[in-house]
Amino acid sequence: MFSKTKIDWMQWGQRLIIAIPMLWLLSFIFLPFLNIFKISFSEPYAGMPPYAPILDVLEDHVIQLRLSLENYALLFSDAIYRYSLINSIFIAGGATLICLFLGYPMAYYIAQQEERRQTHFLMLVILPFWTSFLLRVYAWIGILSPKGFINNFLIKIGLISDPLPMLYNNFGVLVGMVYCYLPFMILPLFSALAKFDTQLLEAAADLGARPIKSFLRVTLPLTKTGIISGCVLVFVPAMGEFVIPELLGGNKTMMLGKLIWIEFFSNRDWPVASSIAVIMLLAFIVPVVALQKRALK
Amino acid sequence: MAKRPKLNLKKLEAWQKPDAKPYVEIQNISKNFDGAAVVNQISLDIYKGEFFSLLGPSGCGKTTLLRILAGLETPDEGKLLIDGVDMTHVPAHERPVNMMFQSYALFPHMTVEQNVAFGLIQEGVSKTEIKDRVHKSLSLVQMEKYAKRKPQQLSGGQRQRCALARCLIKKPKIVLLDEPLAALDRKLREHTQFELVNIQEELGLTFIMVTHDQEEAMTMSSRMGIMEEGKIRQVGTPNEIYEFPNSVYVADFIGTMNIFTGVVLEEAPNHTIIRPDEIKTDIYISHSASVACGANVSIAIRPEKIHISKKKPSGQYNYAKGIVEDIAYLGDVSIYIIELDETEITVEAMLPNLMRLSSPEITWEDEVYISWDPDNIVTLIG
Repeated sequence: MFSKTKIDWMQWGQRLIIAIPMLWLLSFIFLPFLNIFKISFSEPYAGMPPYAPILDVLEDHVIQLRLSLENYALLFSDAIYRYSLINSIFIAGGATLICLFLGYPMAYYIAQQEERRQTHFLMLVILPFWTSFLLRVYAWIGILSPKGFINNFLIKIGLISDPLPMLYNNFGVLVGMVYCYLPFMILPLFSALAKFDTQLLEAAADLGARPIKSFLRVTLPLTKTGIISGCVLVFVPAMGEFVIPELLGGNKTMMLGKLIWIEFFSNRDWPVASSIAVIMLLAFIVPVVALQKRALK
Repeated sequence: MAKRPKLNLKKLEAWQKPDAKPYVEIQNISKNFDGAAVVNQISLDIYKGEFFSLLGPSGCGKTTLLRILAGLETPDEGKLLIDGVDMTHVPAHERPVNMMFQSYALFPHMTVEQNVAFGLIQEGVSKTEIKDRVHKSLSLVQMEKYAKRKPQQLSGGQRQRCALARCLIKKPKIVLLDEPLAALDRKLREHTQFELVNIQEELGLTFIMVTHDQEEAMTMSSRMGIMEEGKIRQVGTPNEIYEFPNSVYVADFIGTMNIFTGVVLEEAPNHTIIRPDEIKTDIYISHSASVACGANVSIAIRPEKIHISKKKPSGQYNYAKGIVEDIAYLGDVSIYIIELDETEITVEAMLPNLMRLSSPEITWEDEVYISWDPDNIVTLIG
């Protein structure tokens, strides 16, 4: 067997392997977030950087700490933020549900194929990632716009006379989100369904369960982990999405991601932008951790 | 223990009664997969209260036939009647049939209790009755203690019991068992064999079991069907099949057989004489083989029906000379492999080890005579 020193070396090796991504996360996610967190308590300031420092070194070695809760107070008093939050939840939640309903049958079908065909279908699911995300979202403008593909077609066959408003509103954003995030739903669902033993359905049928009952009482509970991780993978990035609402949404389509962009770049109000980011993160962490705890059970 | 065929034929078994109506009627059922007939024109009647085994090597179509009975496969041809009702196209969830899967197929997200209750919930039985019947069912298989456990917290034997309770609780007209004991170790398997038969007799249910283990089929079944390549070769009680196989295939499949080939020399109502290809002496059989003189037949003798001695047997029939090539000590019996002088083919003989520590009279490289009784020979055509 291994000598003691060899085991020590292996343990150090394992630690090193974990240390690299940990260091990465620490320096590029955790520290920047701390910075954002700090900024969220400061006040806007004309200059560069555009916020007042929290710590001031005064004379006689006195350090002054100035924390402002004004930014957070603003978030709860001004209707635009509440509206953005509700709209974000509405659109991201809607996109998640639509992805689930579209993705589940697709994942189910793929999981039932033989292995070679599974690989082909999964290739097709991931294929869109090979093109630029921005480009793909942009392409939807051509499809959805008043003179776009769909409206032209519908007018041509005489189904409608005036173009349908599909772009620059919530509908356009929803379409874009479902399109972009569907693979994130299909992949975890597929991996859950591929592990699902279809003989259990035979057993359920044998015990007198109609197909719909078998699905609800056997398939669905046994693929719960896939459903939860798929929903998290779609909902979380959709909530903070900026590109899709910016390109496909209208002026009224406000979402948190877009709001942060506006506060940050248009208004140059870094503290408010940061406080929105902090609130958004907290709003995610709590439900996601809760969901994952449930999924692990 | 399996219901032994009664020696006094006063009480007839279900399948022996002339007016008996079969409970399960399989009529000319065929099933093809990718153009190959997995089940080929099978007809079979099974009676109420039977423990019927379908026995055959893997790939002989026995599991497919069982799945057709369960409604998990639809036959391409033929008809299936259960208790007089045509079930050929009735979907699985509407059949009065429950199956115990080889993998047990327990629902991993449900407790033992919930697994067992599943079938009753589908029937819309009231909650109190479900509770009552689940309890009864679990106590029948001695699993009350584990009611709250999940399948992955159970041992193989406990899972098997849970699966059994689940498929018995609906009181199905037929219980289908797909290799029910294959996943258990030997000791537990033997114990469970008896238990299964006891439960079947106690509840008076009709069991149909698929197995590739002939010993299992012999111990448990009232009757069995030997299958080969999608066909049933022979149906009979274990005793009938062991002692009177109807073909070389069945003779060879069930237990061990010494098979010779030969030509019929003489044929009379009370005896037959056959000249074998492998042995010098002729074989005398004390019954009619019902074949014409000059016909080619196979002759089969069970190892335990062969006598070994160092002295030359008297008479001119039914013996051969050879050398003991190998002895296998199995504890209860010893198997002797004897190479025949003339043709160098080997014959297996089985002798019980009656004494402890006695040095055997016959040992390796001994010259011996093997012989057999004229009524212990099976003649097979083809």
